[in-house]
Amino acid sequence: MGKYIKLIVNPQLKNGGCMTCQSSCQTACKTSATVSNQPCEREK
Amino acid sequence: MLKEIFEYYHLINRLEKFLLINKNSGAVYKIDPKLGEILASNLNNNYSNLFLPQEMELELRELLGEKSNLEILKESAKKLEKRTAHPKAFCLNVAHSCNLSCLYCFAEKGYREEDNQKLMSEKTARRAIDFLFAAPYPVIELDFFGGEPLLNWKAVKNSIIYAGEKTRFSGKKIKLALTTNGILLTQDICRFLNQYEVNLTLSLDGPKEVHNDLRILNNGKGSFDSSFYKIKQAVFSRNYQNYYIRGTYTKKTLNFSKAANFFIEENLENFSLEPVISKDTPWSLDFEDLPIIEQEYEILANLLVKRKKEGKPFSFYHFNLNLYNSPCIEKRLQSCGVGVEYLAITPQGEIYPCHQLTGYKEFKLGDIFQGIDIEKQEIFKKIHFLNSKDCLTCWAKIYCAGGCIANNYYFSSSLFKPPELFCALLKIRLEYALALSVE
Ligand code: SF4
Ligand code: SF4
Repeated sequence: MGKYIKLIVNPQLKNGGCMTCQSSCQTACKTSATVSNQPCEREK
Repeated sequence: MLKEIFEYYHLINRLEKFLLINKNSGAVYKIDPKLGEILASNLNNNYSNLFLPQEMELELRELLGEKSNLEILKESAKKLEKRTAHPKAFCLNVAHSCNLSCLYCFAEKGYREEDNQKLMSEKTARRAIDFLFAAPYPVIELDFFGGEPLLNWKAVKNSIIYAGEKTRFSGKKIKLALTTNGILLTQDICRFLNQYEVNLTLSLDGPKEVHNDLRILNNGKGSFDSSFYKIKQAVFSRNYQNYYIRGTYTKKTLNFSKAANFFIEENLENFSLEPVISKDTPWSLDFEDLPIIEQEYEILANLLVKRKKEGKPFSFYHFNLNLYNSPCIEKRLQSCGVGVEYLAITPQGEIYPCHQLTGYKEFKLGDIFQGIDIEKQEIFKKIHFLNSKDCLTCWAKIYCAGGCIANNYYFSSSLFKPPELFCALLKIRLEYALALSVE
């Protein structure tokens, strides 16, 4: 972008909802909704 | 006014990096240290006396023109609220009893009182699996949970075989998971779970003195020796794949980086360490604990940087942020699908919105024999961060998706009100995760 500020990523807010990726927080933390940061698995 | 920029951007200063996060789009910018230092030194006075060299100021002002994603999110949220509900992930509470008496256990709330049937019958489990397979998703999830699910091993085993058969006929893929304290794991059980690719979540809080603090056997003694070696064997038997060590830290064991170091030394390198969910107990967390917790995340993040450089990274669940293959809008808005896509089933076949809300009768959504009460489910379709006042103004919302709804209810008696302490914690964690994701 410029000398002092560089865009790293603008998260693509793509439509999806195919539900291939993980729901719930079960496979790891059990109490926290960080599931929303797990990768999209649609391409797999 | 330059100050206005910070209504839309949040400054992160972690791991000697400076980042700006657009609060309404989630965009991540890396800031030159010179500019970063000036911004950071003005943080405390809320940027009201911020003066910058012209070149820097111009660049910063350009950020004001960047787009927000809120409108797109609002559109999707409307659709989400109207969606037809289908279950996609079930948590089968196959045993409402346990061979441990961990003092901080949240599951206990769900089965303390009138439970006469503590183990799920195979018939009920099969019925639940049929219910799940009827949903229109190509990938479904089945988690075995308790209490301690291995107390009902026969039902677990037969359910897995049954679900496996059903995948063959339905063409669906199933992701299986089981949470255990490890005590009842045997070679045969491990072999079976490995064969069926069941993801294991293994409860272990850290080294012996940490683990034994609150994870105690029913006779009051610490459970470390009964769990640890079984857990190690189980992880070894699956070639260190497809598992998570799940530790809890409490007010009494705040130095959780110790636990992390212990896991790493023991080759248990996939782990998560979670704050205890409790209130008004000697081990409950409160705001005065935050400085130490912050320090601990810092130690953990620096350790990860170091290990990555040495080519020996570990996997800490909350630092696994994938900036470049990010989830879709729906996931960003509502995350875990509590009460709609994700449901917990009790041994009697009752349906609850999630494993942490089991036993809260006000949220009972029906049972697997009669079906789901669609009207009671309605409120869960409205769960997304745009319906939470606190989240709307929060910089973390695009990455947090509104936190854990069960926690909200437990601490704030509202599904839509996240508890401040947990938000503060999440934001610290997220700042490190973002700083780690940017080179
Ligand atoms: S739950 Fe808390 S941290 Fe997450 S977006 Fe809402 S206010 Fe922010
Ligand atoms: S509400 Fe909380 S505990 Fe329940 S599935 Fe969602 S993140 Fe997990």
